[in-house]
Amino acid sequence: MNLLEIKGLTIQYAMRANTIHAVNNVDLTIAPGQTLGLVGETGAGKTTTARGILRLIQTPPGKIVSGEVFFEGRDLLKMSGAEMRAIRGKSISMIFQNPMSALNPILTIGEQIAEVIHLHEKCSKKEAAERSRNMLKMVGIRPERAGEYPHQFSGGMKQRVVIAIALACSPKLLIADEPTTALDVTIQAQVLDMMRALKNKLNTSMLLITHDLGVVAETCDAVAIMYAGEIVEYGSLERVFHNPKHPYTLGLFGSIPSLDKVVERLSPIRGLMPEPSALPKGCKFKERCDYSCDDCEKEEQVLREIELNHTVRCMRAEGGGF
Amino acid sequence: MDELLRVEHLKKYFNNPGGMLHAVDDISFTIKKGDVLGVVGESGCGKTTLGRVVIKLLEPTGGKIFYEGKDITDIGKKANIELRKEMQIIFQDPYSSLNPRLHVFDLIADPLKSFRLMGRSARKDKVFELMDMVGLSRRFAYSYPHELDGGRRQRIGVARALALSPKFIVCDEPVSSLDVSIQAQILNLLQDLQKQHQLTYIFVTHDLSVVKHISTDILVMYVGAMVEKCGAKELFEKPLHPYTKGLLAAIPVPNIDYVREKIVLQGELSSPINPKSECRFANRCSYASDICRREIPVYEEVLPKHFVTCHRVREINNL
Repeated sequence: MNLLEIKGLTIQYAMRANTIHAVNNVDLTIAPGQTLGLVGETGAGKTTTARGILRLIQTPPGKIVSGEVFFEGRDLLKMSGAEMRAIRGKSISMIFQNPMSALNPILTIGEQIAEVIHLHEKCSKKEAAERSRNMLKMVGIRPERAGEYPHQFSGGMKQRVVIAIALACSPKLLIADEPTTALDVTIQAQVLDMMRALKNKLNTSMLLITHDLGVVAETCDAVAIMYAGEIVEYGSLERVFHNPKHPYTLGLFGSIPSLDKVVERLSPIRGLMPEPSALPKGCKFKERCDYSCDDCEKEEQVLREIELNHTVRCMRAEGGGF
Repeated sequence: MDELLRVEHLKKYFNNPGGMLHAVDDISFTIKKGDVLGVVGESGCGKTTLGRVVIKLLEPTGGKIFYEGKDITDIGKKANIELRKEMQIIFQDPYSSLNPRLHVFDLIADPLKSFRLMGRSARKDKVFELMDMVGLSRRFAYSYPHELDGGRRQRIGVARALALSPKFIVCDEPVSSLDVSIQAQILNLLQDLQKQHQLTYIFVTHDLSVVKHISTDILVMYVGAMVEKCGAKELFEKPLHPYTKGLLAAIPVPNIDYVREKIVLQGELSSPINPKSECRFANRCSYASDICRREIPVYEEVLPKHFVTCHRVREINNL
């Protein structure tokens, strides 16, 4: 059985003048122990999808319009507030994007880690404090520093603290929203290395949100490419990286300056992502696509399976493709 | 003579409550006309400060800067301003470097106005010409920065830098705040402009794949000091300094078949405030020995045109 199964998740923000279609009909599944990479540019709806899973969408203006999110077979969207609170931080936890603002500046880091443990595990404060020191050791921070405040730590260290909080109750699913974007490369390598090791040790599944295809290549088993609120390509890491089919995915790969090859000129994707309040009919990528034809706007594009474990939302990708 | 800029033992210290912050410490290099020098390093290593000191936005604490053979280190305020016609900068953040109360036309016309280079109508033509040059549609001329996305705003930054037809531009992380597809558009634009106008760049960035793509030579910085400098291709094929090796190994590569040596540098950057007299990388270096913790290594030519600052570079690389 899949640990997480998202079906037709649609999230909108109702603004005064218009409605923003942030997430449109997203389907995703994560198996136990699997890492799924969710890739896309700013405003593609990655973070909204993640927050939707944990029902952390601010309502109003946001609203989960339709869809189902099955976690261990139960629909999270139908649960009561109390049931949901028992899950957040316990079975599913989240690492937020910016470690600088995810921590409470007036509590010591030890207190912040102990808080989740005390809340979910019904143990004494003393035991929670003891376990929080163990967590610090696990993420590579000296336990003596438990009494220090967030401002006394560097960015990489703060991100380790955030990871310690997220893993404190050994969650089954970890949602990591750009966990290393704010960090320098050498620190990023340390943090990714540590996350991989801890994930394997605790057999946690992970939804990793990132814009960096390099990070995906190094950490994920499966990858979903998101564009304008939709999944445009979805499959196992090998299939998508060896045989990218959607023109947007191809464009993303062409935009990255390569370290392993010599490329004279980059081939960027022209234009910009459409406004999520005024999405075009038919294919959302049509305006920027080199292969678009009249039929692309006539029908709503669906995800088609082009090979085992590989689906693409493009009518022209089937068969030989481009 | 094809040397455009030469920097000798450049230093910039800031007075900090904790002591002297050595942001740029003893840096020397030469850039030839039409070349691109990539400056890489992690946040806080002094690369932005270096870019600003070189074009005299900040006064150096020590050392000399020569532009076209002329010493421009202590030339006074007036001459400094004249220098702006020759040297320009593209700033990192297109969200905070543009005045939100001016529209695009005025933002680009600004440098032309301050130097009173042309009359009103010639200026108008020039602004539109610049907008065409950087690929900014003329219909945005009377939009305000907040109405535009990051890529277009950065195009304004590029147009402003080009307005006075400089020969030399410092690009300070011009693409780091942009999405990859937009980043590629701006990188191509900067490359095209460089070829068309025979520009010389210092390209400051933390992103090694970007710097490899655009540079002729690369300078790697670590906590204010230079660590390694050589041709762009050579740096990636034959990095000699342990820090450069770790830095290269840390970049995630979007290719699942790409195999390479795995090095994860432990620890964090040492403080640039009152640095001890030792190799600044010693606390993270797996090769560090007694001498590394006792003496500051010298910057020397280890292979032809390949400079490294490391006591043990020959031993480590079997040279």
